[in-house]
Amino acid sequence: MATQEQKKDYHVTKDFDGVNTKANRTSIKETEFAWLENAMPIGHGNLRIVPAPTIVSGVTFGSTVYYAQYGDIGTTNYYIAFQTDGRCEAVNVATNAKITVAAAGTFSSSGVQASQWNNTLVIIIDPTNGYFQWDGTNLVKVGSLTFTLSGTGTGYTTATASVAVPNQTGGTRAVISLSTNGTAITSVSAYGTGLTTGTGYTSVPAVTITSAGSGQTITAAIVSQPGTCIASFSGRVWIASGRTLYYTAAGTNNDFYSATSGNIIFNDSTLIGNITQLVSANNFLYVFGADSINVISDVRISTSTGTTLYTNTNISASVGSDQPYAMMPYFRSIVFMNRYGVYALVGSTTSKISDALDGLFPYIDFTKTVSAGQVLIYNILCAAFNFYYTGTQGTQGTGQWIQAVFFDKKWFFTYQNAVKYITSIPVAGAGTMYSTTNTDLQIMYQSNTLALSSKIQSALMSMGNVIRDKVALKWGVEAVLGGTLGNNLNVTVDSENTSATSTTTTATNFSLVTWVNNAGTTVGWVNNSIAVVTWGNANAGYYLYKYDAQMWGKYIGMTVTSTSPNYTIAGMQFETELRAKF
Amino acid sequence: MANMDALSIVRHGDIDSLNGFIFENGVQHKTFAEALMDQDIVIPRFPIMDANPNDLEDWLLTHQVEHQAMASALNLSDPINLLDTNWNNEESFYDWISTHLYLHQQILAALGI
Repeated sequence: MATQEQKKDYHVTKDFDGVNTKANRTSIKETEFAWLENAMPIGHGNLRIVPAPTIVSGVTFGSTVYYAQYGDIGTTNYYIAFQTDGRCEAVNVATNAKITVAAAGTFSSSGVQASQWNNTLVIIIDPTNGYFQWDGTNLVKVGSLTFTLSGTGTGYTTATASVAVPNQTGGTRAVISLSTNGTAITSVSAYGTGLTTGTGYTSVPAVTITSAGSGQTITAAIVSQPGTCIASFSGRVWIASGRTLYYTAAGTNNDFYSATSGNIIFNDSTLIGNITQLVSANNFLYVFGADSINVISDVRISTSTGTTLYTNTNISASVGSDQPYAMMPYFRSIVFMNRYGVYALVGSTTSKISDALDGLFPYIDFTKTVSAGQVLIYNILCAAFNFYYTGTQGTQGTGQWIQAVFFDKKWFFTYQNAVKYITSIPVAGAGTMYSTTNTDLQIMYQSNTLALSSKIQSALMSMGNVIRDKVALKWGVEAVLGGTLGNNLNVTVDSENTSATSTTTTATNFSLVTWVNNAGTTVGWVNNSIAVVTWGNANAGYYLYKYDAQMWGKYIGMTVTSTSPNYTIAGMQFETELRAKF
Repeated sequence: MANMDALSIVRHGDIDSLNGFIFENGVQHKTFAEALMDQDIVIPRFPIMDANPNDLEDWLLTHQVEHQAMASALNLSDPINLLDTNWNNEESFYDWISTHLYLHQQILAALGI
């Protein structure tokens, strides 16, 4: 009697959600992934390998870069790299020309932050050395002056005074005016039309009274401003130092002394520790603490007192962040990462957006810097967080720097070399991600021809029947190949019993033949149009990779790894047979 | 000039319309706060120009705080509790919208805007 053929089941996954590390691989949705590295789940049938990074040639920084910031001077965009030996260098991202902003020893070896004033200055705060400004040519330590009048004067019918030039190149010489009562000088002012408190003074200048008269002197004192965070907001510079937020006078970037300048001391218990970061966006200045967020808004000058009015409102007394480089505006929200998740602050509502990464957070090394930026990948604006992952799921095996990338409520990971810091720079209006692994500069997500390790690990799927064992007979991967570069996919069929170790096959139907002569030299071929000719099945377009599976279990899934660039997985397929219950 | 239309023609269940309402409402609150500051009156201010339409509890709360502060600063009668609403119910939603519109008209008149 002929044996009846066992009924076969077919399972196809074409809807691709993001990675989900929160639950076991058997417990996530069949459209989710247990790991998804360098593959972007764009949409239905569209799981695409991201472009590889490219190295910016000719740029080697003098020391290890620990922090970098975008700078905009005129129409020139700069990548500004702060380094562990205290130097700072800037790279013109249009020409890749590197210039020195500050020599080694100028800045602290950690903790420096920078921001932007207008498109004329990069403003820099150093926790030890204070406040600096860079105009594309000169770096000036902001040291404005205050003046004190002393002595009893006689003979000053009129009086003028001059202040010595600042000792820093690029500084602004202070200009003051004096008032007299016909005999003595009654006041000194550096505020008003044509007057200025100056910048660039790191040593006290001489003040010379140039009028007839005697008995009075004017002495200058330097006003500097150390701090840990800096932002420009509402036409002023804001610097946080400890629990105090200092702001410059209206319309100025360096005047911490005149009437409309001031400070806000955060005495409230909602701020635990010190201010960790300032973010200017959406008409608000967000003041982050480790566990809190305040907003400053509506900065105006009182018409009656001439002092500055503002509102200071606590909008979160439980969630904040102590990761100062892991915060950024994203669309009309602020997204930030702390030690237990990634959050979006929309209006005054803080929502966790990283539930799918809950299984990953215990493996993040928070002794290393976490950085963030937004980037366009395949014309989709994504938020990316860079950190060191100590687990073993990634393509590098035993710990690696990794980027968790978010868009459209989905997460995936990328690995673009051992990137230690990421910085978003708008290039031609498009969010472009620059990064450094140490002393180099690279642009992420750029090349669709360079090799890139990828790992796509599906859910372990019950295929509609958890109770019964199933035997996987065949697997298939629908792929759309983007170029004639050769696309080899290594596919492992997995079950809950033998996790990714049982069957490994390699699809090689896109391999090219390499011709080698008897001297061992590779021989190239060109046609009569002098175009390079390749040998093999090297056409771009749709391919169905398929092979025998040989795997059983209650749950079946697959892991696809590759170093091939620029291909898209359009579907994952299984042929299975059901077996025993329980 | 306050765009009162955007505060009144919002449609129930229409996310785009609701977002337009939330933005215009936020702009008007900013205008009110700045007008009060010109009188040296500072009120609490929250980022209410944006909200997650699927999670409006925080928005309703902070919005209510601002209205209470404005009413107090302008010596207006206590505003109706704008938290006491169920926006899933169409009738309740439109009741809230009309009450809120009246409050804004009251504030505009008090400020002379």
